[in-house]
Amino acid sequence: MRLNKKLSQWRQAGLIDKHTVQNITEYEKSSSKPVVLWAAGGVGAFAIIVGIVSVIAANWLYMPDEVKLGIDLVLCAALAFAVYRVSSNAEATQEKLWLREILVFVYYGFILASMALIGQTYQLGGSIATLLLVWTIVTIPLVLLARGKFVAMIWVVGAAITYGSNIFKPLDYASYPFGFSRETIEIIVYTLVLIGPLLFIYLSRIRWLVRHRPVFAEEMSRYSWVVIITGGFFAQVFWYASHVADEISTTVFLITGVATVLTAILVPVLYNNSHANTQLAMRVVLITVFLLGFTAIWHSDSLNLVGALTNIAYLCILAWAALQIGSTPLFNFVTAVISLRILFVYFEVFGSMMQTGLGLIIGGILTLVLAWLWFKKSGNLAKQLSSEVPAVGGSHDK
Amino acid sequence: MINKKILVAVLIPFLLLCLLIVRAEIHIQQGREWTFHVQGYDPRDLLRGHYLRFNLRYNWVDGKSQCESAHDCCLCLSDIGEVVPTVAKTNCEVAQNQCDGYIHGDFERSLNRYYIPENQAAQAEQILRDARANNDAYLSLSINSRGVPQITDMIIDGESLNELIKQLPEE
Repeated sequence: MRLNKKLSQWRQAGLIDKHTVQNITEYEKSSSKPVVLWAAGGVGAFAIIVGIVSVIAANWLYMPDEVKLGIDLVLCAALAFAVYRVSSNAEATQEKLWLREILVFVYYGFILASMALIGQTYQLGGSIATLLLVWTIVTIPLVLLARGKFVAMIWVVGAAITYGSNIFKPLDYASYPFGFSRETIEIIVYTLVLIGPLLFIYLSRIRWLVRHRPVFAEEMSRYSWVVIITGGFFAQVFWYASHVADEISTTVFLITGVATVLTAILVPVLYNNSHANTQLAMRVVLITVFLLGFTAIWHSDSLNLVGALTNIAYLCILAWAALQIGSTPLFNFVTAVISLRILFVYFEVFGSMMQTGLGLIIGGILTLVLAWLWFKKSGNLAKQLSSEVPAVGGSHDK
Repeated sequence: MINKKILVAVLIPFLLLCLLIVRAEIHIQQGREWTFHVQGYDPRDLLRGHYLRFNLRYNWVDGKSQCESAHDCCLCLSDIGEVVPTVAKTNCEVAQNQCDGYIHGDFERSLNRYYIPENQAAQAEQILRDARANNDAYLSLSINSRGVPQITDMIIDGESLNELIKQLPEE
């Protein structure tokens, strides 16, 4: 209705002709999502599922194991069949694509629930980490049937949780093969923790994935960078602690450094479709995050102010990187965070003054000044700095 | 025309589920059944999530409750005609060849929890507490030829805990 109204207004204003109106209307009809249909269908399906689950739950104790597992397998087979039918259909309408995404997602989650059911029915004593690991691996071909961001995001998050929950398992073992000592295993484990996001970046750049599942590759890459950038932000925490180097092996950081430098060198290969400025921004952020973490562990006493100032410097580098990749919203967000961080520095350094009226007045004025500066200046600063940077092209835009 | 790649992608998870069920069933069918006393774990936290937590009380052979080597340690089970077997720690080669049954050390850690339905959790916990106090709680395991145990039942006063729970009113 709204579109038709707008088209009518534009036609009356002489901006478009009858032919263009017709083309736009037909295009919108063919690509529109049947929202009402999906909403009604979703509510109905949800009610049925809740009803089935309620009936099963109410009679769970009295239901023989064979019946429980039988129902589960039947539902699983039905989902598998539905996913197969929809995925095999060459007709790529918006409706079919949405249906495929939803079915793949439901089937993906159902497999995990089924594995847990089998574990509970047979009192299998395995760990949650092993369950997640098996589930993540066997569902890789399944999730690659999807084409949208949602399933990709869900799988990346699931894979990251699986990685995190399994990475420490070797520390539970009493002995290790090939003569490895516990100290060596600890170094390997903690290194894998730190370079985890880098490994996911390499995974996301597998040629086949980039070419045939670009959305999947993009999401995996995006979340990996989010983790790296967030890690850089929280590196300041090391400055608030003391004797950090006593707790973390130097070898771990050295190996992580080598991995970081290697990745920085390979950025043009990994992101060969991205603009040179974007590649430069990635390299600078990678090296900065590593240096922030590495330099923060050698102090004996806590140095809060150093942590705060290095954090602000890091945020300035992020703001620069945002301009390199051509993202004004990201630039605005980072500069807003810088303003807030400056405020927190004030409160950290002069916190004791907050008990006095003068301290509060100065704090309040600083807050208002920074807010005014940000609202007034950040947009123009972004435009000004953007105009000094060549226009960014390429496919990668965080 | 069948799309083989898509078919494989959707079948792999389904076949995994079938495999898990078949493997568990084969384990129960081919394993030998053993029974062990259940003792306390942490009286303040007997119930964790949907699991009853406990320790097993082994009928140790005198002087045989420690292994010489931490990474080669199995529990040697000897059937003496009682409800529970005698247990001795020894290296796995000896356990495999000379004992009536054995549990591999790596799997012993998983024998400390039993899944129960959430809506019967508190009652199941009370049943187990009472049974432990009366020395009347047992865990039934099916152990295969590779020393891998699988819990088959928890026995309270000669009856399956699941059957006892079914007889109770819901909470």
